[in-house]
Amino acid sequence: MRPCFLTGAALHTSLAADLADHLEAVATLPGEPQTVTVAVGAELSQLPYRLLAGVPLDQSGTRLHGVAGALVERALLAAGLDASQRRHCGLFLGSSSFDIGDTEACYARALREDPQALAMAGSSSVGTLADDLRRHFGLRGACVSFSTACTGSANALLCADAMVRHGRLEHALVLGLETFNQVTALGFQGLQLLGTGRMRPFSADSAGLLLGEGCSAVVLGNRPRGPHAWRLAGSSNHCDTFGISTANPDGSIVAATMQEALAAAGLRATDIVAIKAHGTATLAGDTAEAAGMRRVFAQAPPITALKPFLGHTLGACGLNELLLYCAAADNGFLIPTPGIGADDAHPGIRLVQSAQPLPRGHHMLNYFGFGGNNTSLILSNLGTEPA
Amino acid sequence: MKGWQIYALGAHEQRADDAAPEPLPLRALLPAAPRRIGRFIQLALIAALRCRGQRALPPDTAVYLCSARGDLETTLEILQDLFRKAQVPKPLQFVNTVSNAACFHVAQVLTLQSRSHFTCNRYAALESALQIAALDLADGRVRSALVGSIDLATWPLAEHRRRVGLAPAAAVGDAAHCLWLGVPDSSRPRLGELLAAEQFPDQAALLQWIGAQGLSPERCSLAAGQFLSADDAHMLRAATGLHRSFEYLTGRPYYDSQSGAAIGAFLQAPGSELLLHVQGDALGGRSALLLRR
Repeated sequence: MRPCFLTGAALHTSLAADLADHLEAVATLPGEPQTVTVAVGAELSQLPYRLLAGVPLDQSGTRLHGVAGALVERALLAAGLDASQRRHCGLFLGSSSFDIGDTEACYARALREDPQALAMAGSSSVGTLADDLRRHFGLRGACVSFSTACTGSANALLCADAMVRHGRLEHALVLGLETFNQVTALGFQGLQLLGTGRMRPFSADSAGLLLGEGCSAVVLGNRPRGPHAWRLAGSSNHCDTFGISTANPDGSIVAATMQEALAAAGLRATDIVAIKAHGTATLAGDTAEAAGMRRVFAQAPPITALKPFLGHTLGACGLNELLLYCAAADNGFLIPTPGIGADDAHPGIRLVQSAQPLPRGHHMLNYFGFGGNNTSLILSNLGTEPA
Repeated sequence: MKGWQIYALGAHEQRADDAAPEPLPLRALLPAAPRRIGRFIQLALIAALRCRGQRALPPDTAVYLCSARGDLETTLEILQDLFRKAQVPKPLQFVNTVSNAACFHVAQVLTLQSRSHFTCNRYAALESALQIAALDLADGRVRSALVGSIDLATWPLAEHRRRVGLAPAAAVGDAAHCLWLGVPDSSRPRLGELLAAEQFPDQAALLQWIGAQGLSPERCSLAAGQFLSADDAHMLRAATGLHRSFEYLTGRPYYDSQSGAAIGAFLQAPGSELLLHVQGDALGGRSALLLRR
């Protein structure tokens, strides 16, 4: 078994287009989200959204590939991969919507010319986005796209990690990509899960989720870049068959997922220095997650939630939130959410309210999604080789 | 070579009729089928139920499903409703666009609670899903796994053919394949073994790997996947000396994951001890499955 470390990384969200700039951006909670107007016939829907920084929405049709390409280039450069290493590098992509935004734009344009135009004429494969990127960057290693809703890019990471550890790949590029599209925005509106304003997970006045765009890239490899390189110490993935859009509110499966991750890492709950919660700010989601954490942690370590900053970036949230969390941790702090998650709406579960020092150690990052897919990742930055 | 046991197979393959889709035979297998599920999820359930048969699956059996195109029928419906009829997605319709809804329903119907992934790859969906499952088995994360592929035709078929790049009169079909894989268990009869599921950047890397497997032409047949060109298949036979061909594509309607049919055809009829199935892709890559009966 070979070691596997997170090496080059890149992140572009509503906060900033560069990973480093995110650290300054999380010093304060973001303001109100933007509003996207979606016209469906004569009806106009005003949907709050956290849109990518610096990329106008009117570039739909090209913006996803533009953003993804820039991120991949930065991540590959940061990882120091030469042409031969790129050729053998695998690609693992997690998303909920993939390139459906581009598909919508193409279809809308085609319909203006021909009312009988064929939908998805140019691309009907979920794997097209990954193949486009592989072609552009000369990546020819194993390629898999993950369509598991909110756990997509987290699952992409844990499978890529397995490939590298087992020696199938020397390097793996993991991507989380989520950009605005009407199907997703209107779909969530129809489910009545959207709130207004900032997301407030684990709060009494939590009023639903806010969708966000977010894209990220990380390269996994055998050689650490630095003495405290991050590695995946353990992970778990579990299907909760309680309900297709809600987890079991008793938290049993959420807890089982976390406990399995701890066991995989050879750790106890008391070994965890901090938790990055999924925190969707929906009553059902927060209730199940809080119940699960209470089952696992007699005394919960400090907990952060990052959706108040990024919005819910769906399939990309796994990697987006992981990179943001790790960047802050590399600078020694856990990201606070002042005024959010502090009112004991979920007894025993409070989010950190002020920036606090975060020691190196083992960190738990949780993700729970539609279709009952639950993933827990244990990341370590202790700088020790795995056994 | 040691591999993962294949304990059971299940499949549904049906040539699509231009007039209209045939109802899928789910109710015969599951009288109390979940309501309001589309054909994509029905296909997944049919293959999984046929694979399980009357056996008792361990409740910690993981579910790995895959597809090249996902639930294309529901996605098209939503897009056409939205952009041509100005109708917003219905809630359950939207939820079912999430591909792992199929994993959820398979796990719920078969009362499984374990790992679950839905993965996609344009040319090698089943091969990559098998690779992921095999690594999880090797890691000891799971001891039993259902691995399945789902391919859905959409109507009108003429549009479907255009969309997937087929000739106007090409035979197309719906299909789903499912394998039950697991760690060796002498108490269970087995159909065969999955010895390897791998992806390679090019033919040269594949040939290097094949050379290391010690496959003899007497023991091993070679099957060329639907996306491997005839020239590349010929070069492969010449380079490896594996001249015994295993043919399984003739007469089959088009769908993306026909490698599932190769597995079933090989294990369910007499023939060589080993099968090497090689698939190509548009970037010159290769994926390989190595099976032993």
